[in-house]
Amino acid sequence: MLRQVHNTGMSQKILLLFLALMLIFFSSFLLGRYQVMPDKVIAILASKILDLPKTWTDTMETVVLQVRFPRIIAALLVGGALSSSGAAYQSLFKNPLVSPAILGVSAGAGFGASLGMILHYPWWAVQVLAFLFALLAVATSFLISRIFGGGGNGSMTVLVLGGMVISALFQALISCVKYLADPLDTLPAITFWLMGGLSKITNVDVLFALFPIILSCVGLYLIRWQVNVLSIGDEEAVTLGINVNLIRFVVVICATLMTAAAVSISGIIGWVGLIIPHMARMLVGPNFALLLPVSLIMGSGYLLMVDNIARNITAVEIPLGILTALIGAPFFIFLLSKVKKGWT
Amino acid sequence: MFKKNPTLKLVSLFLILALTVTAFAGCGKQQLNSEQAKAAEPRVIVDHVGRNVTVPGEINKVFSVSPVGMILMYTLAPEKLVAWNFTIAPEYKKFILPQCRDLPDLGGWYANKTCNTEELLKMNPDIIISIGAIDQTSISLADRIQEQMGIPVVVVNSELNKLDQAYEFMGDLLGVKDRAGELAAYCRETVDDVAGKAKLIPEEKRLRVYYAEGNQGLETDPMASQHTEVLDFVGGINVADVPMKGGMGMASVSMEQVLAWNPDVIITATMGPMGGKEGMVYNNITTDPKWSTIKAVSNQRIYDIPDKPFNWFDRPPSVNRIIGVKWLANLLYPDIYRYDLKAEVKDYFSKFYHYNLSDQEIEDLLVRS
Amino acid sequence: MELCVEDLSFAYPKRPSLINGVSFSVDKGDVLCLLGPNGTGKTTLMRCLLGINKIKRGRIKIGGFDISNMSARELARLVAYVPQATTIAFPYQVMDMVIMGRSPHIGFMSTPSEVDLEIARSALDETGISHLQDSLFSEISGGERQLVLISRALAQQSNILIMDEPTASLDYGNQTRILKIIRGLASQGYSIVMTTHFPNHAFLACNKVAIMNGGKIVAIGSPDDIVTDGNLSDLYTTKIKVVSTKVRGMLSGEIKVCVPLMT
Repeated sequence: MLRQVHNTGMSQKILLLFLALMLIFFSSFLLGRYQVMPDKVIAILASKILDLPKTWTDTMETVVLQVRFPRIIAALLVGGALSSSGAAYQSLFKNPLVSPAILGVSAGAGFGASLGMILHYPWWAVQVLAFLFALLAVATSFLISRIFGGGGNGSMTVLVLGGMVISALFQALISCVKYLADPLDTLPAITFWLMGGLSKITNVDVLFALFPIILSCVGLYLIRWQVNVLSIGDEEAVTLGINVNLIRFVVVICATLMTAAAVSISGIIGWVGLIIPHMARMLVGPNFALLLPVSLIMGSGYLLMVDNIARNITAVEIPLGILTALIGAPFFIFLLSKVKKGWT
Repeated sequence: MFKKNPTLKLVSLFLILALTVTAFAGCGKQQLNSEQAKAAEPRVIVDHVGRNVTVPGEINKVFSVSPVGMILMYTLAPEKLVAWNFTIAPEYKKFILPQCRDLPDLGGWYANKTCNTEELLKMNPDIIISIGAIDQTSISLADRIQEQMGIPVVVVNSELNKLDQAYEFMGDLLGVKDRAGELAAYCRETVDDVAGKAKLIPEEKRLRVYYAEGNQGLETDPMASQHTEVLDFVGGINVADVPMKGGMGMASVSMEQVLAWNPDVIITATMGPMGGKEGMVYNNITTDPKWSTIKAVSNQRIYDIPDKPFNWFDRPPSVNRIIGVKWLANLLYPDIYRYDLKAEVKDYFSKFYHYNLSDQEIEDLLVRS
Repeated sequence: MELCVEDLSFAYPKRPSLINGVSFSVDKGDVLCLLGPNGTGKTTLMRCLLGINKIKRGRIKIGGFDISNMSARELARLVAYVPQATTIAFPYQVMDMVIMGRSPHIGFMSTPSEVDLEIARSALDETGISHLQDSLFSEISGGERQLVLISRALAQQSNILIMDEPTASLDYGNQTRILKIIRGLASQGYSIVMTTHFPNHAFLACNKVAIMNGGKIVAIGSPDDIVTDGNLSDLYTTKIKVVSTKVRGMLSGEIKVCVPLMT
């Protein structure tokens, strides 16, 4: 909290994390299957600001600016979006086991994307469909809680149940589309998308996701204190002067918008939104005002590192969703053994 | 209990009646089958994986597990086909014989497809064929289908250089030896010719080829996979020298990796060989500036794989690969192979599909190719 | 008149009403004790006072202003809530919890300031648990948690405190510790409404007692008038005797206790 922000240990932690992120960020530009010497990479990047003589080939420039740059930015955006929306949902639902997918956002996006692919739409339309269906899924869950929840604590339970139902529904629809998809080429494409990955990211995709993600981050940051109070209980929050319905609504909107934007460019990447908020909480405690920025930094760095592995280890890419799950699940068990503060 | 409830009694009576009728109907069918069987005695054959299969003496109705077998079957004996296992897009239907165009799609046992087994049983095929690359999975699948359906399942190997044997085997089985001989001979000649000439290509002249699949062209199949057999066969080098995946194949690669491979030639798969957006990947690659520095793109050596009536290269890896071999061979090394492709295509279509291509149709088939 | 409830009724939608025509008032320095068996509407009444339940009929006025026209934030500056000490999902420290009491004074887009921190510290001082400020809320004892929640309410700087069974599931020592604090707060000018299942506590800490039964206040007045053999026996449908005894050395001389008769 404030005491902690003013506490030098806490701000040092954040500074260190940020420096680590910067280190990962810049070194990611040096990694890749196409060999570009570090001095060339630096020159190419610097040439965007400075006027430098061209000592590199066009392909090198394409690799650094058109391939690595959008991919690195996308990893930062997607990782940051998933983990900060995960942190927000965990506070909102007062449950550390909640992931950003709780209200059906991933299933909705998955259905939108598979629909776009089975209809052989161009790639941008596939992403737009993923985004729209992600929003639709959450809107439906939210509507269910509004209609059948009856307000108060009950509506939160109904919201979670609504999310489960909507997720299951869209999963069924995905199966439907997969069944109808051409098994020889469209089906593998859909399967790939559902496994998540950043190999197809372009600068346009980054621009598409940038705005909703930044906007939502700012939105969540503005209500960071209210979300914090909300996490101890809805009724107590009311008596502490919090407009619970409004804050809840803003959290759902922001978390959904950023997850939908992330998922629509990256496909479904699990575990990040569950694990990173945990790690952040172990580091700086549950105060959302600190948890949010730390989750953002750690999530960005984590996904960037994992994506560096995905794109460098072999010539064919390992789908990112598989890697995050492979790394995430055992790591989660490790976290469980380390957690002393406990979730009582 | 019965005395107390007349409705229940009625229902039970009805059920018993229904069961009896069904039982009799079943018997009737049994008798019918045995009468048919008298026409020709059943025989035992050994299929390509050494399974002993008892098949009827005369085989008039055939169904296939997957599209590869279906296409081979269609080229060999369309009159014996009972149903498709995939849907043919409307714009491709004109290449299909009228009597086969509107056969139903019953699904099959491949990829995510499931077969509508009861519908298939209603059609009562004499045998089911399983043609394609052979592994333990396909063998055990054949056994399972045979057990479940009670219909003999025959496994046939259809690797590119064994297609002639596949045709001859099927010709014997179905009693269409003459036609099978003709098609087998064509396959054998093509394979021998190409294999012979491929040896003549000097190592330094071999072209490095990237096979672009998926929505963005960023999926591929690596060397030695059943999906790129044609490329390996004509003497091209598949740039994707990575561990292969089984089954449906397809592996994701990054743009950067393609740039690093810097292929001499790119061949693109039209999305949806059974109906999709034509030239999608081709157009994507030729217009995206990221691809522009690749040798193949800057030299305009990028080609879309013809896919009518079924894909010539892959997905499904069918007998059309025979004409695909000639197409790709000529494309990569015209000096060595020296085929008159248009004449070859015309010949192939009339032989395999009973279809006489007009010059305009040939142009259309080979646009972007 | 600090808190004034007039003819209050409440019901959940399409349900029979839980509170029927309740009226009472609490003055500065008053400690009102609500007595009544389980399920009689005490908690519902408190939720109405806190603005969690929207009332159906009647009025609640604080300092003459109707609370139905107030936002949660405005109300929270006037009324603070001390819930029963329960568990929370996340590992908050004691200071984290207490400073949340400053929420109604913190702007929409900001976090607590140095001043808020000072106020929270003195609230902890007041309940005597400054030494716990860095402990985890989930790891301290039940009595300590109750004190943390009282500190939080104090940090809220509202004149009215609503306490839900502040002595529930506490041992004797902690019970008296809390009751002492309640008396102390009343003498500072806080108005307190609390519920309890111990009629004895009415004698110990309250100057007003209201007996609730079936959603109504059946009796209200000073502890001596209200906490009687007859009222208690009716209320809890078991025989209860109120006995007085002299304690040597105590200024007030006489104390009263309620004893259930197991006959």
